[in-house]
Amino acid sequence: MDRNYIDMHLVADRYLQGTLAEGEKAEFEERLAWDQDLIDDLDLAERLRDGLQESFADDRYTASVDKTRTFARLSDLLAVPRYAAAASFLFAVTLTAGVFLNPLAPDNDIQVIPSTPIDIVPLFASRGASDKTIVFNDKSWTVLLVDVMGNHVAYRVTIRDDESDSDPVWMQDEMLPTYPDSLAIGMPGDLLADGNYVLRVEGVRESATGEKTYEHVQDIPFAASSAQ
Amino acid sequence: MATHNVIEFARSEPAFAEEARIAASIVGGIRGGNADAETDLVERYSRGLRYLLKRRIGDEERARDSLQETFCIAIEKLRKIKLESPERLAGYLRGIAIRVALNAGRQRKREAYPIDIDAVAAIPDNAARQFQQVSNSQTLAAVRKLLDSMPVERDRDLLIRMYVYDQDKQEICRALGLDSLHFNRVLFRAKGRFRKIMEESREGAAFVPTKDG
Repeated sequence: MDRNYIDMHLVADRYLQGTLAEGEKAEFEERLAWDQDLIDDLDLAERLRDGLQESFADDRYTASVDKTRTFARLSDLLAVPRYAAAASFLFAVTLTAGVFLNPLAPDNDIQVIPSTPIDIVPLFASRGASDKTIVFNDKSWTVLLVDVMGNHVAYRVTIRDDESDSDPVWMQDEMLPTYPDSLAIGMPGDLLADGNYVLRVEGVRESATGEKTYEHVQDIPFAASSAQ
Repeated sequence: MATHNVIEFARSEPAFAEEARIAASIVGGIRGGNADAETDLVERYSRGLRYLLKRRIGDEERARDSLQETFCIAIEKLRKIKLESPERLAGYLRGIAIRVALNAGRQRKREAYPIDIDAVAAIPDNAARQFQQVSNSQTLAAVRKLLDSMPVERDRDLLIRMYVYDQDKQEICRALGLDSLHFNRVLFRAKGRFRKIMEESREGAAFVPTKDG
């Protein structure tokens, strides 16, 4: 049983669960007898499993495994430290931009300078085309947060109309994960008309000669809908 | 003339070829009366067989006794008989270990197996584990640090469903709306992060005495 098979089919984890078929178990244990790295990986998985089972008794880590939770409210999203930091950064930038673009009233009264609202939307890869509908507010700045799947240094992100082969409606190259494992894709809320789109993430690789190549990482279909 | 079909066993992974080569060398050495080959056998297969026995027997001390018995039986046989497929030595040892474990489970009071082979007598009491210096409480702290470092609740849900509720991959993907590849990547990243946290704990533990082991 080769390592690729073990990794792709989660054989070590299923061994710990006790759900391997006899044939698979025999092959796996035969490898376990001599493969020191596999023993280490199994030991680590066992520690993780034991630790999680013990931690789960702690209310703080109770997960809602009976229902799929989504970030129904922005406050839920902002409770997650990384997204809160992202929102704070973007808010600060937007506020600064607002200050420069909106001068004070001539009579020097201090006015409240309205800053552009920011809608932060985590965009997960999920099964089912166009499962995800994003409501865009044309008076807001929308930030799509995308988990980064690969281990590339930088990424290119494009958004295309799903129903045509036209040029992308949005593209940015050399994007760096702003926070570990996430790309923040910002755009004006009125950029996308109602319809189906595909957000594509490609990892950037650069050769020794400086030539860039792009490797497909993931496609995330979504439907855009404008808020009325 | 019998030939060892090492190439077939090697399949496509170099590690298999390496194992086949080493196994055949050990088997040949033991058959030829080489005591060093017996030591090599014990050193190479101790950790894996001990793990396997511990999972079957449950008790650390009985697993160690069973490990010694396994090697004694294996070496006595290898000295006398010619193994059909020496490159599959690990499978042969596994078979012996499983029979020993079954017998250990049946016997209420186990008599110590006579150990008259030097290499087997030298098996250490405790298997060398990669994070041996990391205490149970530190491991627990590492798990919690891992959970705290995962910003997406769905990813934490995945780990908990898998390791606490023992749900299978299909079930988890269906519940969380993930595809197979995404599932694998989340799990792979989580394990990688956990390994890193544990390595940091191990480095810290090397300088700090721990209360529990």
